[in-house]
Amino acid sequence: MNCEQFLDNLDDWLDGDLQNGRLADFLEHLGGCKECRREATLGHDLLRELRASEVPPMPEDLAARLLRNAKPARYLPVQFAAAACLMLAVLGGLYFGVYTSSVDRPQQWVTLELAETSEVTLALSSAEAISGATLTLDLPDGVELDGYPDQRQLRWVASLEKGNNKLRLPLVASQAPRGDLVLKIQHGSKMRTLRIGVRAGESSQSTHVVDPDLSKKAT
Amino acid sequence: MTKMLPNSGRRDNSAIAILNTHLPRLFKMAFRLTGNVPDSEDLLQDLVEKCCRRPDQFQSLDSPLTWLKRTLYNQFVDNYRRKRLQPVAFSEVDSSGSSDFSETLQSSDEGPEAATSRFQKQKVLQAALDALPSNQRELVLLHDVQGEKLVELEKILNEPLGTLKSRLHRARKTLRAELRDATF
Repeated sequence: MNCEQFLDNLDDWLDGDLQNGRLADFLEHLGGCKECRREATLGHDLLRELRASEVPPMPEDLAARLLRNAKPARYLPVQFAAAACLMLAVLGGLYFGVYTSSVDRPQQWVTLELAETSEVTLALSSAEAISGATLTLDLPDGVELDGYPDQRQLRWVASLEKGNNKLRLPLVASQAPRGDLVLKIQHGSKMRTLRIGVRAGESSQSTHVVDPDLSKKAT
Repeated sequence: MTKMLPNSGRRDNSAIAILNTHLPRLFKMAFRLTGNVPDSEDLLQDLVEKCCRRPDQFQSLDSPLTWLKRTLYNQFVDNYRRKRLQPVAFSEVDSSGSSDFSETLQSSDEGPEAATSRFQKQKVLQAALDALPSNQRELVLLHDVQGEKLVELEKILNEPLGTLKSRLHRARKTLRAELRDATF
């Protein structure tokens, strides 16, 4: 073993990962080369200094504080009463195993009456049962989810069954909406994005819209 | 048609139990990365909230601790590395810590000269660590200081073993050179 090979093996030796023949060659060179012995000593000193550093003890109440301060998963209300009801059915083909998609333009539009709660229902068709999907809802400016004032984003975990799944969103437009409502459904490395355009106006009692692009992908 | 409504705010007990089990090790790792207790706690708070949001993740994991460490590291990179925090590997632990360097000096069996030399060496080493590229510094902190195995770091940092070995080699070479200059 020459000096260059010695230095190449130094880290493995310092970590205790040098074995058998390589270790014997290394030690033989170590015994006969003053320069390399100095480098090895320096390597030892370096690790000793690094490992000498300490971590302060974990505060005893840390676990309790972390859990106390953790924001719980958001709970979307199941019921809401006496609200105008706007049904928007989006057949979103959720083929997580096949593709990942993102969209920049609204696939559907929904009209909300100002200062009224409107229930928007997203019908999501999943090709397979999906356990533990993360849903992230981004609301446009001027629109709130009823019961969640001033929250622009909500996130939660849900399981989808094979076939149709329904997500009801009680939305309130406090002013003319600016932007789109975006629902992201993520499972593992796959993500599906649904973008719904929101505008203010007189909403109809019931609307059923099928996105042509999505319905093509749905089965 | 199935109602797809989120879970209630109730937290998953098994996820919390796993977190509790590993919290001391995660705290050490967070401290190594951030260099101070308040930022370590913030980092862990982010991790706990992520776990509370997705408690189901734990059920399918072979090694929850590795997942927790990888998530912690990713959050550090996303949220904290940009703040250019200087990891305190040696002595300058904040007041809530117990390893104040002056105490170490006073309680040491070393004589004053040796203690001073050691102090200077550590200052040089700290400066050299701070000057390393962030990915080299974090590798040294996690492997050489924290004691994580490279095969474990392969999973935590999500990088091939060969890449980590090369990076560690470069980092140690730089640190040895700094230490040599400080010694001789």
